[in-house]
Amino acid sequence: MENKDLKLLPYKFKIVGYALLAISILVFIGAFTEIISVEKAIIKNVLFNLVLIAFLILAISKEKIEDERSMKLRLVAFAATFLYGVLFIIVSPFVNILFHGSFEIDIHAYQLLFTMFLWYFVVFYFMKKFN
Amino acid sequence: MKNTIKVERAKKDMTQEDLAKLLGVSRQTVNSMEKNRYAPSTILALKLSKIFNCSVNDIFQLENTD
Repeated sequence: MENKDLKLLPYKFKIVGYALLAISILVFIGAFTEIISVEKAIIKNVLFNLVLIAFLILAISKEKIEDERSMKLRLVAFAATFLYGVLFIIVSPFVNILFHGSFEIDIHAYQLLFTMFLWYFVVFYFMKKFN
Repeated sequence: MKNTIKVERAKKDMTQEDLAKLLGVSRQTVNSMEKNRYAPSTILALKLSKIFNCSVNDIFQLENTD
């Protein structure tokens, strides 16, 4: 029977994701201890991109045993993450006015995507373990 | 929907891991099905009926709330 599920990267790509995450931690430590003497803005951009690529690879690569339940949970986690992202944007101005007295939205796309990925991983692995 | 996967598995003297390997799913998926937390697809239900050598209706029964 034809499978119309999401097409995911093979499980081996998780290693690539973790490796990129490790590299970004090393870059962060290097920049923090000033071993790497490159402009802070460049380091920041490289770091954000590395982390996002690592998270993306980890999110769209298969589990060790990928089955219909893990696919269902993945789709639920993606939906929950989308709702979280929308709510984050809606609620942020109110949080801003509470703590900073300004109604302006000052969220960097990286910040939003970073927390969305974290939310996705928490939801997915929590459901996988306890549901 | 309730099921008799645990009973059928016990009859065949299989562990969740054994059944999971035969089905090509994870052990947690078998556990979730046994505890009625996950309703399997038709394909998985048919695979179960083949392994347990009985009809799908013998394994899965609708409840009043379904």
